[in-house]
Amino acid sequence: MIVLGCDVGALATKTVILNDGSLLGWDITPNEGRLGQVAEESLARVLKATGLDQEEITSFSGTGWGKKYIPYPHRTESLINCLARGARWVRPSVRTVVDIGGLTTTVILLKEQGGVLEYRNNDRCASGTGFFIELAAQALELPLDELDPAAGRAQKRAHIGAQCAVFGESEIISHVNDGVEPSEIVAGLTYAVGLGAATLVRRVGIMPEILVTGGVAKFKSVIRSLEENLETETCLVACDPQIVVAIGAALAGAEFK
Amino acid sequence: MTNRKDRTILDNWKTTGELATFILAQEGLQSLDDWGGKEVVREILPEKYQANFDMVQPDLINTILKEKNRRSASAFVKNIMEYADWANQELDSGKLACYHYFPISVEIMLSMGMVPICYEVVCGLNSALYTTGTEEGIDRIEADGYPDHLCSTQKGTAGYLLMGLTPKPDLLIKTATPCDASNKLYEWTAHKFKAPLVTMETPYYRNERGLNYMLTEIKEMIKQLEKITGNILSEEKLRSYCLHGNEATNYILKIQELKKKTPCPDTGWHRPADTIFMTQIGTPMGARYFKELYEEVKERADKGLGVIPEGKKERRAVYGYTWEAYDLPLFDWLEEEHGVTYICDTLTYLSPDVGLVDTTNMETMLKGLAWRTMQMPMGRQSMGFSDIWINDFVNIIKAYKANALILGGHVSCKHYWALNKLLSDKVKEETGVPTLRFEMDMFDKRFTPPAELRRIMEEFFTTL
Amino acid sequence: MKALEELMSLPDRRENPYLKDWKADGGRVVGFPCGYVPEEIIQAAGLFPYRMEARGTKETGLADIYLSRFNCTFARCLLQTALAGEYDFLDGFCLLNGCDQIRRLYEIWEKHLTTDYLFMVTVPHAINDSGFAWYREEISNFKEQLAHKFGVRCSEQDLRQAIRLYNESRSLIEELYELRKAEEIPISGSEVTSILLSAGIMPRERFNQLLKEALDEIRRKPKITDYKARVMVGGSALDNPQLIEIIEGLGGMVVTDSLCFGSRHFLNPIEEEGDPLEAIAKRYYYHNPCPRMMGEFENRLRFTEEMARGANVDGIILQKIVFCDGHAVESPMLAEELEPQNIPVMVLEREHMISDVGRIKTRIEAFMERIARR
Repeated sequence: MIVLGCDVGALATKTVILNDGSLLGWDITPNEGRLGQVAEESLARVLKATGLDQEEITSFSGTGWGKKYIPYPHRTESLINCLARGARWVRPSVRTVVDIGGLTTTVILLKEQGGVLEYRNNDRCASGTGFFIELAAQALELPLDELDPAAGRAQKRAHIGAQCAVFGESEIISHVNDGVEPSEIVAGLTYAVGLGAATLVRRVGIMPEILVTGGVAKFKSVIRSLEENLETETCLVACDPQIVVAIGAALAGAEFK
Repeated sequence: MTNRKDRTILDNWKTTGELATFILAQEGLQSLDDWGGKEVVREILPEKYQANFDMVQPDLINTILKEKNRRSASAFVKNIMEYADWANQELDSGKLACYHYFPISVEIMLSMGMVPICYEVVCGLNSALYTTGTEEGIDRIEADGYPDHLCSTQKGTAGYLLMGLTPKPDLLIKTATPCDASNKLYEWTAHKFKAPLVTMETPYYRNERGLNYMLTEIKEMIKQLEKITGNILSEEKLRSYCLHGNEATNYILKIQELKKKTPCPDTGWHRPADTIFMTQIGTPMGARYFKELYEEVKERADKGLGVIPEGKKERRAVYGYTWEAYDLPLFDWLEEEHGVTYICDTLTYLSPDVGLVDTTNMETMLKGLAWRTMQMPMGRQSMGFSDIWINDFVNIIKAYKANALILGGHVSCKHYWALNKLLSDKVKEETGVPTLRFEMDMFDKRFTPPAELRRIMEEFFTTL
Repeated sequence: MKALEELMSLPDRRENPYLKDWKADGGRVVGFPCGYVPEEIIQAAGLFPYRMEARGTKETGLADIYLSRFNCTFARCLLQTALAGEYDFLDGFCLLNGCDQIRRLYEIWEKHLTTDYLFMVTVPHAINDSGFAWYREEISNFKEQLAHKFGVRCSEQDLRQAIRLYNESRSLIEELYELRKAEEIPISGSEVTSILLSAGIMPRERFNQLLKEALDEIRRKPKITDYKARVMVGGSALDNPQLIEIIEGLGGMVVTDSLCFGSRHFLNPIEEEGDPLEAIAKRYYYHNPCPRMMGEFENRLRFTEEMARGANVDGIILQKIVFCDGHAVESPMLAEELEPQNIPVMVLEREHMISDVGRIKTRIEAFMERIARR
């Protein structure tokens, strides 16, 4: 059974196609404010990548913060449920899922048999999320994909308190003006994001195994910080960590059928 | 209508009460759309109500028109109207405007010939009724350099006072509980408007020593009030108001007891109103409001009726913090869409410990009022150690067979945010009930707007 | 400059040698976070009264598990310091309902930390007779509990001795503040901040000794004459000279304050006649009040004005920690009253850990331009 899942996040739309539980293809497109259009474009791209026609897909499921903007017919799913399912698909033994996204960080504890035990989102503040990283990239005038390698190179970390994204940006600018090495600033920033995620995990509780998903999971420096602060190892996903929620949506559609 | 600027808010409430009564009386009107929508309904209204109708939240009107909500709605609008009218008349007759903190019962104020105006209700009721809410009051006080992290339950009114939309205070009465934020805005108000501030300490400990101290504070307060008003507290008058207060208290406790039944026989939309009318404990209209609610709840309970659609599974939600004033329709939506009933929250739960005021003589009455001040919502939870708040909710969840705990924390509440993990850990440990956590601002809808609230709730209740 | 050097450097030393020696000798330490806890009682019980601070804390990841971004960073940093194990040396911790933020640490501390004894002293929020009676009883109970839990004596004699000792500090510190009133400033505000911090973290007898010597050294030091403006600092708990350094680095010499780590803690001596517990209660209850005291705005305004005029300041900087309700309302209220009296006031918001230095410098620079004398 060929099923599709679409996750419209705050910053990007992710679309995946599964067949009998195997990942056939996926697409990630930044929203740039064009929510409905991007969902269409993402669908078109993933169909092209898999060589499938839209008619061959038996179920379309939408989830995410912007799911109501998906223009093609679809059923909707709770984001938390999708994240839980997707995480279990990626790693059947996972109990704690830490999803660090564009604007929201979510921690879910799963029951042993799957299913959500408890979940919690970050405070309404962008400082511990992808948004803050994007802000920093702008302030430092570095392309996003250079940030993680920069953090890896740094000899030490500049201090970023980042109680608030606005203050955090101000801190970054202060460091730049003081002539601090950009790599050190980035190292401080990614450390702060990891620490924020770790604090959220501790508010909920930790049960091994811990899986990190979401766009920010691509930042090794953030993962290192998370592990350091949680004093435990985490697992990474084999596929792109940004599509886990969309996978969960597709799986929910399959089950519904 | 007084047509006085400083009675704007009172006048608006009166008109809203009248227009709501008018709308409720229209045959066959189950929602605004039934009659062709908001614009059409506006045209059938008498002209004197039209401007006010434009201000009222359309969703709120739709909510109160529903069959299951009509009776409580009638009680609600009657009280708003009557209070506004009464307050205007009393103020016109020269009585002093006494702004007080919401859990301070009004029996003493009434006995000494003052007009009690609850500081928090002035902006809270605006938040509940109108699309414009109380944001302009909030913005006004913040424009003067006062911080956003103060509590919107005072900010709104502080702004209105600066804008001259509510009567100037002749005096203020505040308990030291619950928090520094509220204390400071009362102090600001007293300073700005040159009104005496009468404070009552609430003891940290809930024992004999604590109660004696509370009693001393009430007596001190009375002395100060006697100086300010030139009136002596009469035992007879106090007794008559205390009897009304006991009546209201009795009904509140009875309703609470009935909510233990499954399905819950009480509609949720009026929870914010329930807190608002707790400020009327001690008045005949307060007693009447809770009597009317009780009669309806009892009727349903006797017949085993609930308030959610047929076929939906009941999810009994306890709010470990409280409601959002700007979105009464939310609680109706939760019932209809998700079968979620609203058992209680920190501001509507009145601990059965409260008891009744012994009206034998002045001393017994004052002691009873002192004790009640220590049990009233918010006072009880924040006077002393957080164990009370936490244990109360563990017990409530068990006693009411709740299966969801909603912790929408008010952004300004430092108490709540300091104890929320202790609370949710204990609830998890002792009851295993799933918890939803999010941030909101009780009176400022911009922080977590109604659409966002529904998204958050839907996420939780479809995940459960 | 040995005594002065000692007092100025102690707060920043990695290890506090006095604390180390005290504990090595079997001495016990009772911490407290707020100026309404009577140190003299702890002293009289033969224990070390330790004024808690969290100056070195850079982030609050552990504290934020329990608290949240809506709680002030002073409270969060205190909790962080404790959770990181740096307050393990405490044998007791006396909390109080000074402000909501501090008060709510009690239950978290009780559940998640292992300090042997926790105490709670509650202070009424208004200044009146019944409040005094309550507070008097509270500190009496506190004394009893200390004596009982630590198995120590705390007699009237011990209390009198403690009062005299702490009064000596107060009079020495008053001398220090007097010196700062001079046109030619003998010592910077950041240096004074460090000295006052030392008072809270070392044995008081030694502190008094050192401060006596230090006062002589200060009198002999070269004076600071090249400054833009004389500044007073008020506002939230300030346990770190860093902010003062920033202000002084921009030309604003801090010559006085109304801080709870500063003048409000160290002025107002205790009566040495009569019942010592009564005298202690009186001093603490009625001393220059914190904004948490309701109905005392006029007194605080008067106090602020007196301190400002007494030290001939050109302007006042009222710094408030984000989410500090007390000072957040107090500061604009004071500004509204003082500006028309020709006392310029700047209200500055900050976190407990000062990390966005650039923003703070910009704001202060602008204020300096306004109040500079030359």
